[in-house]
Amino acid sequence: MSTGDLTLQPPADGISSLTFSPDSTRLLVSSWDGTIQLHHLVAPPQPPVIFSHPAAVLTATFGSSSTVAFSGGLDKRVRQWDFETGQCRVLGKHDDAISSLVWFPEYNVLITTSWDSTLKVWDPSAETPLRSTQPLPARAYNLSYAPKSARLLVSMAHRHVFVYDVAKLAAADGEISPSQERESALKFLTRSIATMVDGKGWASGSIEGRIAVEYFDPADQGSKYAFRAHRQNVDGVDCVYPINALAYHPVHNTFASGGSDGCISIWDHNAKKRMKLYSKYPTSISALTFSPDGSKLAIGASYEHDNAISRPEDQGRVMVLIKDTVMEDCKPKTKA
Amino acid sequence: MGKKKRTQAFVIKPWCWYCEREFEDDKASEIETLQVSAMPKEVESYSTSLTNTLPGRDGYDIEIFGMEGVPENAVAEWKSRKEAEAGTAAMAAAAAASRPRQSYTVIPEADLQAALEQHKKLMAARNNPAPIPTFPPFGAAPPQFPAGPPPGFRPPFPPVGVPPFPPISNSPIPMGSPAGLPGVPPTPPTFVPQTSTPVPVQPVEVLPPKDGVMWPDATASPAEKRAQQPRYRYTSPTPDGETEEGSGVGKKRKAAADFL
Repeated sequence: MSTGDLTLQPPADGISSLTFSPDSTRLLVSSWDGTIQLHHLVAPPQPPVIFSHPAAVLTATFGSSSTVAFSGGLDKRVRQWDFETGQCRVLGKHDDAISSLVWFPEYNVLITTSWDSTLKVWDPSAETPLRSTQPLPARAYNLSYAPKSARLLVSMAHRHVFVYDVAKLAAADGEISPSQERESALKFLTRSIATMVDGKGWASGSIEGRIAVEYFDPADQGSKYAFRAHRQNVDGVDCVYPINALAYHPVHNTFASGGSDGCISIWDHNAKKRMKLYSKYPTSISALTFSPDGSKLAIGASYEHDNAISRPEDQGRVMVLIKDTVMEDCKPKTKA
Repeated sequence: MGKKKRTQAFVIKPWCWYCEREFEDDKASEIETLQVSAMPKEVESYSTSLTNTLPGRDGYDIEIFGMEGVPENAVAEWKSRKEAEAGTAAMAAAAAASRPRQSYTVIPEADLQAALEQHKKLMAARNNPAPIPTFPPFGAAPPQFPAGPPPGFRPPFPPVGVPPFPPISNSPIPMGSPAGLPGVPPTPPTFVPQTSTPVPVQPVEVLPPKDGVMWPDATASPAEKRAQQPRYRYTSPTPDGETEEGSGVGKKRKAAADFL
């Protein structure tokens, strides 16, 4: 077990997502064991409050306050949770599992994507919450929101990437076309995406150990690049691991990547340099998220069922950790 | 889900003849013995006695390497000593385990009366055509159906290391064993036997690693394949899900009630 990380009580099965509350005091963990678990980050660590679902949960996020959250997963339903009363409300459903959801505090809307190849916009305060359904060319995997440039990034199967203008998307009551239809810079399936804090671009990670840095502005197309990461030589074979998690540091605009090899690295996309490689974790990194104040990095480690972990005892291992040295670790080195 | 009882075989661990320390394996004893003697053979000439040894065992007349060369009578003596220790310990443990937790005091009249009343009630209930379950199902878990806490809600802060609730055997998703103490890695999720009709097991086709690439499948993500595993498969309680309200747990739980 790595040193220096705060350990929280993990769920019973793999971690699918981690998210901090807007005030950085709570952490919400969603898990394949069919629960979302709410941690109050106080010392000493307390067991989480657990809210169960009828099927595995793939994604969860906080609303505008730390007492409201949304979740979705294999049961296809979009749920709104009130943590004060423990009440749950189903806003509606997709035709397949919900892969990702994002809350937009500026517009008070929730956007969900699913393996049913659609994107849906929800207004939880309305009588009928569903505002619009946008068709997508393939099964959607990830969403990432860049508030600075009001852009929403959607990554899909077959390397499709859509960029939406959030203001238009939130207001639309019918189908609208995305502002950009792109193809991933990586040759393999997109596994993770994260938008830059300055809203200029994003990083994406593929299942084939590669990270790409791309920019929204079509004029910046020339500056996109990709590099290899999360690979290691095991018994003479160069093993290539999926990159499961990417997260941008909210203050320093550098990003962390986590792979099925159990490693976490911090990268500076401007300097094109790795700034930090943390000691290897005993199982795959499933999810990473920085707290909005930039002081903490939450790490979810569990087997991703992607052949990367072979020992059964490590496949069953689930860890939720908090690293509180990231404010320093993610600071870009100034040129002397 | 009881814990498997471990039968402990009686093993004589490697030990050091000089200082009578026990070691986990042979290698350690070799190293440690040398540390005790602080003396490779070469220095024999300028040292007359060994340090850190038991009295009477500080000479060089016996040459020991690892567990080889220890005097036979010493080995036999050690063995009998260890057996005696283990024997008494095992006997004490067995006695503690087998002793029923009962008090042999006189049962008060009132208790006997209460027990009789309970028994009478039970017998009456049995003859009654409409049986009412008098015992909370599944151990100490509060009733989950039909009324109970809000669907999908678990009480906050379950005691650390204790499962929040015992998993319901008919639960749509198999719950793994509970998360352990912070810092203790949880045991791998175990499958809860299904009391309802078993789901036909269809193996999920996952491409094995190719040329070192862990996930060579370019058509589906690991999560999509994982969702096809029988343990994660979810069937909507209603075909279109239109009539469903709440967390969707209710339907399943009602089925469990019917089962009882």
